Amino acid sequence: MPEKNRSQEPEAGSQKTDSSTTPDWRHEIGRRIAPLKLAPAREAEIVEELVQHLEDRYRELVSSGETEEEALGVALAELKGEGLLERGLRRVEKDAPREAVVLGADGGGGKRLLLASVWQDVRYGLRELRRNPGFTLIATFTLALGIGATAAIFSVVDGVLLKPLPYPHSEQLVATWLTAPGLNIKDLNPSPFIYFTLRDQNRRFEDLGLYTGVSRNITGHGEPEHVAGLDVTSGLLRTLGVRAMLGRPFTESDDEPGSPDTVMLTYGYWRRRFGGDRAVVGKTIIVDGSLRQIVGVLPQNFSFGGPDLALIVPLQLDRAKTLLGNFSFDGIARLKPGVTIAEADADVARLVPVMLRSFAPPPGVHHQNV
Amino acid sequence: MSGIEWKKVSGELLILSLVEARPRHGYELSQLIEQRSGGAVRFYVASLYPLLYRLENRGWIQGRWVEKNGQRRRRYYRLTAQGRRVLAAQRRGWQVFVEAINRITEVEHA
Repeated sequence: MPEKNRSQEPEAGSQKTDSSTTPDWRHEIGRRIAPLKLAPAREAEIVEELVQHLEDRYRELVSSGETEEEALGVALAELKGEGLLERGLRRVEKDAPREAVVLGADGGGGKRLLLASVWQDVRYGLRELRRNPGFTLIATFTLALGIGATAAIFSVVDGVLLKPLPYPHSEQLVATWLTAPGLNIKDLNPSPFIYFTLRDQNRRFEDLGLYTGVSRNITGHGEPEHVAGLDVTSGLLRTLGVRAMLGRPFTESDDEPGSPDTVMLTYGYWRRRFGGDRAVVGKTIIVDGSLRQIVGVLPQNFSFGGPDLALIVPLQLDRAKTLLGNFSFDGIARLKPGVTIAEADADVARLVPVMLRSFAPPPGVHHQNV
Repeated sequence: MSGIEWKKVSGELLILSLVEARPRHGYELSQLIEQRSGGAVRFYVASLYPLLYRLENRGWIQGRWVEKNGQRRRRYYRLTAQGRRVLAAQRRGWQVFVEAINRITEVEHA
């Protein structure tokens, strides 16, 4: 239990919604974050969450024997005076996506007309933008006339991983994501529709791959276990320049929906689970209840996806069923020799309108608004 | 990495670790940190939620309002795929850091 601050009296501004029940936490929090001038939807969301926390804390203190006044004092003390919450949130919220409705309403001219019906759908503001990738997409691509696509040198990620990249010509490797400066969205993860467009029409990348982390259940060979996996397009291994230590790497045919289910094991998992059996290639394992044929084992220096990564599985994206939205993947690409990040950015930006024409929006979002 | 950065990373590491197994709401996170640390580490409202929102902005965790039967809705935070990778890297970094400090501070035997 936190140390009680018995010397702290309820602050002058504290009120109670009811003289015999809980204090008016909403008022306490609201006045602390009011200077931030957050979008109303965002402010309401923060207040609701923090009020719940303080109510829980207050009830816990009261049920453990504190008087209401003591509990109120302790809970208020945990708000740490007047400035800390505001300062902490100010630093965070300035980087958060803003309520894009404001941008649309103020956009004026043809842009506003173009967006009008979308904004009617996006009235939930930031919360809905965050929840619904489709809306995010629409707001992003319709608003940001200055939208570009950025790629960042992969060494930025290298800094996080705290180890050098063990891949050939790693200076050509870039992590890819989009940015929407008009919405103050700095990092918008790649999406299948972006992947397909770049894969088929870009001029600056040698290759590129899409991937996402997925936990997998392994059964049917020893004890069942829960392991870390990655779903990847075959381009990921080509982009990294990774060859199979045993067997073969994924190919484009593994990417095709409906093709046989395959899997590659990491070196560590191959050693741990299969005792380093070199005859493992061609055998099957049960991954999430489905039989998958082991087509290869990754080399020991394959460090993508963390040290606990056990296996990778083809990400079988169906182009025919791909819609705009779904920014939930990670992407990596290899620049052609001599190509700069700026040149790659320009090429991706060139393809943004192509992407929008090539794929349908999610249900409920009208394509004419894109 | 400076001391301030380590403090920042350790707070991030605690949150990411606690949402690894399953989604949790903010109050639950603050209780778990306090309980599991034996009261040595505490996160109060004014520091916990800015940290949660920062991690969410970075895409390492994702908050969702969840409404359960007969209860008010709560915001649960889950670890994202990106957050899982960051967690793995931070765990390794933390381990290296702790081991280095231990080697320096352990009592020397004559």
